[in-house]
Amino acid sequence: MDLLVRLASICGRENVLSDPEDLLVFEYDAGFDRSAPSAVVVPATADEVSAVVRAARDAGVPIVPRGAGTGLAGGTVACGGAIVVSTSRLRNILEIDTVGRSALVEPGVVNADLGAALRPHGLFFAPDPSSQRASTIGGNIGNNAGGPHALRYGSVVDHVLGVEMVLPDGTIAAFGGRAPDLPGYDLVPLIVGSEGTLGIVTKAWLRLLPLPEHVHTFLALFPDVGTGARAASAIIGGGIVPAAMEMLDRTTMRALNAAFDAHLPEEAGSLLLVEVEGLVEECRDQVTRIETLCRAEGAFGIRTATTAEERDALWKARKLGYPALARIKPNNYLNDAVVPRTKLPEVLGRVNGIADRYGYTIANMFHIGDGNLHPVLLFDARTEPIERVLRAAAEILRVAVDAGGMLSGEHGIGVEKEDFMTWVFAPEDLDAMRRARGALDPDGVMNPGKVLPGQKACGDIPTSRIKRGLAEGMWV
Amino acid sequence: MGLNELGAFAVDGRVPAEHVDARREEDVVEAIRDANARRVALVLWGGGTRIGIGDAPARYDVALDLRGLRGVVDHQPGDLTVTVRAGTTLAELSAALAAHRQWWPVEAAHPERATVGGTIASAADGPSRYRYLHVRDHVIGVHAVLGDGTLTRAGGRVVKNVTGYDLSRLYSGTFGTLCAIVEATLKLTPLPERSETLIAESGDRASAVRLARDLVRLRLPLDALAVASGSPARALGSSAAHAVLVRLAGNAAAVERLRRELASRAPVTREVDATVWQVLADAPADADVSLRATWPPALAMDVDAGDAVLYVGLETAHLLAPLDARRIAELRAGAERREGALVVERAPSELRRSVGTWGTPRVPAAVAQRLRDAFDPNGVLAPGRVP
Repeated sequence: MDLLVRLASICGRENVLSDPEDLLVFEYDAGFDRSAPSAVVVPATADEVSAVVRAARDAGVPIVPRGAGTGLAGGTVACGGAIVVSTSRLRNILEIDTVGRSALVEPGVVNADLGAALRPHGLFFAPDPSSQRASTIGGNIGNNAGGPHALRYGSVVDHVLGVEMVLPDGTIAAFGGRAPDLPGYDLVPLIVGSEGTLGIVTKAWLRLLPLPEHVHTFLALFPDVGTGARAASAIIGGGIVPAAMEMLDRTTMRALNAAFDAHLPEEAGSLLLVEVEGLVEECRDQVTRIETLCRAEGAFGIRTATTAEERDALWKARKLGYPALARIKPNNYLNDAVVPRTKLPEVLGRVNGIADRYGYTIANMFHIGDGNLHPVLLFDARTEPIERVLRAAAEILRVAVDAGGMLSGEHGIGVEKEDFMTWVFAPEDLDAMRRARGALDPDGVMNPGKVLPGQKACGDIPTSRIKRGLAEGMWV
Repeated sequence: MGLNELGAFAVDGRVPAEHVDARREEDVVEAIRDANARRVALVLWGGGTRIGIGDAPARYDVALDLRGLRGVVDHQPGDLTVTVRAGTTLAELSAALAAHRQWWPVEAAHPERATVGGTIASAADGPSRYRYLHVRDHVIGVHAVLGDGTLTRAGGRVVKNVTGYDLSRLYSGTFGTLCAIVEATLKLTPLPERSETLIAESGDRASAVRLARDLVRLRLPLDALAVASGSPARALGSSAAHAVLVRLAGNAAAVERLRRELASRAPVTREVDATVWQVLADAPADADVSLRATWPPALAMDVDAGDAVLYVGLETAHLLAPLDARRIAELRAGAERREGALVVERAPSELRRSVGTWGTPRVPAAVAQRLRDAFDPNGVLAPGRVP
């Protein structure tokens, strides 16, 4: 039987898309790599997912799971004639256990919707990726998403107790569960962050935390990035691990002023936004110490906020940063790299040097507390060749790697960076990853071409070809 | 090494024929390659505090002792990270970090013997779990020698990282069956400015458990919480049969406030020495019969099984009374019915063989087997220990 017919018989004809114009929006995620799937199917239950997987398997067609498509590493871009399995109809919150502090949810639940459902219970799901208004729990799991508050609470992997997953042979299996420490190998931390290459998660048990009684937000301006970064180091070095610690540079602040009348002073070279959570006594004390440490580095324009409205005002600059940057140039390449925190001032200097050399406007708005850089290269794709942008991005990655860093702090590898994996891992390290992958997907039918280098599936994507050349050429 | 000395490396009564004292990563590579060449089976040894956990190895020829891989490789206080060789003991690590007012937030039994590698590999825990969760969440990279003798690295030295599959965390809880962890990079935490431990004693277990549960419901950020019953309660100096222990940590004002809040709502006022937490962590490791039960939510705490350490809020119970096979099977069935588990961590050989260590594994057998085949193709690493 034709695959499309079989998919329609499983999910209903209205839940199978195959017209070229319908597939257009599934060609890409929030990154730059593009490739169209052969079809998109939208199952409504785990059993339907299982049947879809079996059908694709029988037809010899690979499968790409997809949530909201907000990923930045091309993890949901379908290569080699793959079909996309969308989780958008699997969007129920099945259970909120307020005593055990866990929730059972389907993968299509939007992160922010879960947050809203938990708030009346005084609980929250800690990971808060910037995409949280659109991104789904399934996608958050696939990418081991982070967000500003990962500094204190860790990434998604710290908050998933178990998953139900459809394996590449169509079996529905459980890994972990509602209780921690179940016997046998715990594959949950392997599945979290596996970018859809091991199976399709159809349910997840999430760990919930009680909302903190007090949240105290602190904002300070600095003469330049170096002084702000030193203050951030001094805070961590002083034994304070805030809930979040974000930095905005001068370019970002100017963009905010231009776009939204943010009234950030012209003489400010960087902005540090720090949030602490917990007992009010502890927060007050920490904010006092943070202020002292910041003043020692020449901080000015200090503001603090303790009510929700005031806090929103302080976070506004951070949250409007990307829209503001979009007014400078129509396109931006949002890089993601992570370095040891103490290397940040040096790395930022070198990253800005690269942008200068290429003549790109660069903006830095990032999670300074955990060393997670997000240099944004601004360009106009209509007039500037993507090759140059990709080359500058590769040089930025190289700087991070040379400083002892890694390729991604929260966006993942996908098809954006798989060729650069050889920069940080030896062949035997990558082989260990292949072994793990093979235990779940021995035939490589799940999201082929992603994460690991040397696969053929996504080889025809033009941006991929360029990056392969860069990865090989810059390898020292 | 003579038979007497080899006897110290017996597992479940089985004495190995050889002992290899590894000092460097290369020694581990060589020993595992050699085991593959000769098709003999190895058991990896750290401090031996959890060596008995697991089903008895189907074969056991060589004790590969990793304690000689010792010492801090690199501590970056400003990054809150440290890289250590796997045989470093938890006590040595704590001593090295204390000077910088930092610690690795993992409390396990017998830190003067327990090694960092063994703690990760066996997913050891204790009172710190209440606030700091699983040991794997504080491991950011490892060097590991796979079952075929390949030396590999996983993760890195950065605190946030999604560069490929997270193998460091996967290896935690594999009990030395997929690989030998030879070096680890750990995520550290600042030591709190102040820490205080309070006790409330109780003549009956139900009210002790109820009190602990009320404390969880207060939603105050407690640092640790436990109920000790019977012998562990006596061991920590309780005059009553049951004791609720609470640890408060933070700055002086926060600890003061927590103490006030607890005093106004519950009879938890008497301060005791912080060493009681080590007594609790050691208790399950020293008992002749030691069962670790987890099941959500809360029901684990209601089982009246005599001597016990209960981590309320984590829903983990260490049952330490000498139960018989029938009672263990009953408890396990109850736990599994409620989506939990009961692991027989310690028991006389005969008893453990009759009930099995693990109960029903929560990973498809075919997947576990493929994972084992991929990482340890000749089955040289403690074959049969983990399902």
